[in-house]
Amino acid sequence: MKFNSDEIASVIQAEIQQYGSTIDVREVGTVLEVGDGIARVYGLSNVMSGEMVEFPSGVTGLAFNLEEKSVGVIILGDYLSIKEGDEVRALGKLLSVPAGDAVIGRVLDPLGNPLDGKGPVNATITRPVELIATGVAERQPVHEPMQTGIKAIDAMTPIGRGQRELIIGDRKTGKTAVAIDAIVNQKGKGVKCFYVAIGQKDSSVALVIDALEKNGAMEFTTVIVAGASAPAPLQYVAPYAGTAMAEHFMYNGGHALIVYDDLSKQAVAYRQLSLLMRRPPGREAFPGDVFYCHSRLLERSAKLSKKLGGGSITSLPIIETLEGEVSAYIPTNVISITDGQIYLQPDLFFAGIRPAMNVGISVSRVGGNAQIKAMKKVAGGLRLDLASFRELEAFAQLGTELDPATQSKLDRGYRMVELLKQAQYQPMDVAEQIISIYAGTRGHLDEVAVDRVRDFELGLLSYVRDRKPDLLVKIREVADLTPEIEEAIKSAISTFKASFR
Amino acid sequence: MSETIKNDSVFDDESMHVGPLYAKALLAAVGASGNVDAVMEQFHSLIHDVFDKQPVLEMALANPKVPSDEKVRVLDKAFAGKMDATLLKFLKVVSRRGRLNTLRGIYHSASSLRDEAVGRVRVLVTTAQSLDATALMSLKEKLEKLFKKDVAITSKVDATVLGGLIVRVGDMVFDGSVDGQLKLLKKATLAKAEIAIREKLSSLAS
Repeated sequence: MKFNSDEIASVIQAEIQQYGSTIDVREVGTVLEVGDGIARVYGLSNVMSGEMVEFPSGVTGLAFNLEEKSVGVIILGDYLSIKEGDEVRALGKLLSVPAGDAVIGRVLDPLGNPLDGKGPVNATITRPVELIATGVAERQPVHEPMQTGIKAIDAMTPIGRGQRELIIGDRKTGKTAVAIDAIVNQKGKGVKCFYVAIGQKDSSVALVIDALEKNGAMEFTTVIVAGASAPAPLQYVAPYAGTAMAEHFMYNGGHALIVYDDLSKQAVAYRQLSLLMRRPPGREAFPGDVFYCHSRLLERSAKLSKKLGGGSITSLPIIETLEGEVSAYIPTNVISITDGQIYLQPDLFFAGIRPAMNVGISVSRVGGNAQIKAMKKVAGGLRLDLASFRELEAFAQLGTELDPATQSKLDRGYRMVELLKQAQYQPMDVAEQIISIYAGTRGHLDEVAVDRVRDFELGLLSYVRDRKPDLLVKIREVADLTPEIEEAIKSAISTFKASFR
Repeated sequence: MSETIKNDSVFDDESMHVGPLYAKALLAAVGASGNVDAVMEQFHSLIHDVFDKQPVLEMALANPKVPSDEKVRVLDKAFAGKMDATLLKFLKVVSRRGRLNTLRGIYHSASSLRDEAVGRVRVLVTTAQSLDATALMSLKEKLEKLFKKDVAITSKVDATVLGGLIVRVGDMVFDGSVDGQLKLLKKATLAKAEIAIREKLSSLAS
């Protein structure tokens, strides 16, 4: 493609002719000291907290600390280009990022600059990064399911659109995998996804992007990256920037899913900034307002009222714990803010139970409202059954004689655990999940050997897909477990079982 | 090792805190006994005519290793008779308190406090060529009408502004320079051209 230089010149000429001479009025200050991603500025006497400022090199900053004699500025970009004595200019506006369809499918930094080499972001819409969350009157209760495609989660800790469900666990327990599966499962459901990577190795982010691309999820996903090498201010701003992009869809009646991976790193970046700004440290050296830092972020996930279009933002914040310590400062904070948590445990992970979800302490405070009726009927009580199975299992290891009732409960439990295992990047449709779980909870797997449960499930599902596709359609449409559907599922299972060897 | 602070922009917490205290005391003391403006002029001359040209003297006075009596003796020898008695007394008090290192901070605070007291604004005018007296007078009149306050103009010559003038009052900068105009024009034109190219991508490309 070639540009016609004459026409471009005429555009520029018209602009110059129309240009009226105006006096540029600006408020300025002088850099007193700079380093570690922050600058102390003398002057700027009328600057407001959170206002954008500009350095001569074009780098922007945010007024973060307003002190008696100086202003603390966090620098969003390369702070090495800033020198003492530089003139800082207040821009009189808030930090904003590009939003809208132009950001979908892109990999961006927290300021909306492209990182994927696919050219500039052609966004005509921008949204402020910091925004007060919607109030009570603008919301409605969470009632639509946000399927993650993971059996264990959709059955036992269902997530609804507009909910905030924490994914918490030690390192290497599959936290990111759960979030990625949830994104992959949104294919064809009209949900825009945002993956915010904070303080991660760029190589792991590249892996995530690759996985999303391979599974066709990048078409409706935006990745916002503030890697481990990014300055702390960018890591701190990244989740707010991602939320701002997601909010565009929510306020226009759409649905968005946002993953913050992970908020413990963001808290650490915020701690670094606060300590450099000489704000007093509190518990674990975090500043006093680290709770507010997370609560104002997660409050922006909402299910809007019908009047406002009924859009939603579902968020999946991720927190990494150290040695399973959930009573540390940041984990307790975020647990208390969110509407439930999925707790992933290393010992389950290494025992081959993946996703390594600890059923006993994982909860969803929205509960059954976020499930379709059929799933509610099939999976009701599953969580408690599995929790009591875990207790029994520990007891059974003592090798004592067990009565037949206990033994059958144990057998059922082993099969359910086996059934809830699921491979990565293979999210399942609700209808298929319902058939699988129906087979498990109603005892149709009791005669199948434990190590063949997964083969049975795969076989059953492919049998239903090939021979009874109308059953799947019906479950999806009716979304309830009517006697008729139940009968159809039962007969499908028994016909398949007869041929299963 | 030179420890003198040349640049106003250096962040000096001590002088920022100490300066206003001593400045207030000085103005109150002078205000009771005599001509404040004359004292302020002497103070200005002390900083800019003496200290700027004799950094050794400033360093010696600021040096905490030099005993206070010695400093008082030097002050007496250098300024007795030539300087307003109150100001000299003040310098001696500052010396006894070991605060001579914050003298510049004290001067800055004192001059801004004095400006505030008499309702005067300091305006820094930057031009490409030095302004003559009539131009300065008319500029002063205009600014006084605008701010409705007494205006003290400090002028600065900087060839990079090309033409026009930049007026700085406190933290506000009113940029009417040719350089600033050109930069704004460049920004606006680039932004418009970018939008135009995006909108008419098909018609512009051949």
